[in-house]
Amino acid sequence: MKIEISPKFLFPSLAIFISLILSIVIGVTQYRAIKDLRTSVKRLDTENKVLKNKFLMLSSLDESNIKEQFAYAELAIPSEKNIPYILQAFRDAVSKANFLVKTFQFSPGEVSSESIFEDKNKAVEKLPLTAELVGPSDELNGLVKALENTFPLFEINNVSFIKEGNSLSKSRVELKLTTFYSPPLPEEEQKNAKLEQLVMSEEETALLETLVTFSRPELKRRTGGGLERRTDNPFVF
Amino acid sequence: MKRKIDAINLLPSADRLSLSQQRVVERLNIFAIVLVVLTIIFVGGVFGYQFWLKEQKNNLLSDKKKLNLSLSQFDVQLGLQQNLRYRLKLVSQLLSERTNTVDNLTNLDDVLPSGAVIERLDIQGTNIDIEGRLTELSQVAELEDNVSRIRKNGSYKEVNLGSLNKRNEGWPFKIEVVKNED
Repeated sequence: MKIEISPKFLFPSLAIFISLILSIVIGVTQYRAIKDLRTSVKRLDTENKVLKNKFLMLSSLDESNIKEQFAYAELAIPSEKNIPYILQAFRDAVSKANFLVKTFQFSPGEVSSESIFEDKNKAVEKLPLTAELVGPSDELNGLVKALENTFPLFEINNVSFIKEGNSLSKSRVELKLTTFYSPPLPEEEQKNAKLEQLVMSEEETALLETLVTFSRPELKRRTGGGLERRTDNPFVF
Repeated sequence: MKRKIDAINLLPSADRLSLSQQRVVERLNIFAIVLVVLTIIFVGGVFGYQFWLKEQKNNLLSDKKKLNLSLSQFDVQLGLQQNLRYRLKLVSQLLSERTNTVDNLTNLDDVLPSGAVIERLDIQGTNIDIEGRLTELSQVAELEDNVSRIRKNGSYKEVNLGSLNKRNEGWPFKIEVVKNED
């Protein structure tokens, strides 16, 4: 017996076939595109949230306050080698303890092995210096204290105290110190800052409070706010 | 086996096949229509969802652009705050790692008797060398007591006291101490 298949089968079969093929082709090809789009949307949403928080955080910051705080931090570790500033700070600290400077020497080429920041932080440049002072024997504590609590920060590598002759009150002190400077962060790093990099920690706030107590060379106010270092001739001891 | 007799079975075989095919075609038509409708809904849904995602992406991109533009007005604060934190990190590192010479000097009071004359003092990190002179015999005993006390209390890694001999100007002494690092 010959079985005849009606041509009426053709249309629904074709429709089913095309529908299935279309669904599969579209499903497979668009799956990746939709997945990528969803990832991009999710990422952009997160980025925008971070940017919004950053915006809110930055708008809550007081620019003049940051400038003032930055001035303190920059006085502690300047961004450039400022020899007049270092000399002036050294002179101020020494004279506070009633000592006089006999000799003063920078040794920019040599780096003390006793110093900290040994290869740990290439961003910090060290500036070793030596000085010979004369002053009252009972003021050695005061001298060291003044040097350790002044801007820029000094690291005392060596103190040699020698009583001069038979005098009880006069002494000679040889000092080996290191002071530091560090260039500012590259602009690229500043712009790509993450939000958590902008929020000050409690330790940093406490450190700023400590830094306010440090002595600093005489400063005058800048017209635009912030603090400025005096740069008159510091070589007159 | 008894065959069921109904209207179709009464028809000749060829017609019977044609009728059953017609029924299948009807069902197939319904299935095809349902499938086509579902495919249209699926395709529409896929492209619609994609369009909506693209719209959302565009909106987010434009928001991001606006936010970046708004943030650019804070470039000064951003730079300052970044530099401030960076410099504070360095300051904190320096303050915590540098030798506290003031403390080392203050602690010398624990070692030397009151009234001792310091002729020479050398401080290098935690190493302290002192040369001096004691003027009274009671100071000699006090110095020896102090040395044995600080040897026991553990705040010094090393304490070396040279021999004390009477000279014209008193009892010259030489002491070397090495402080324990905190």
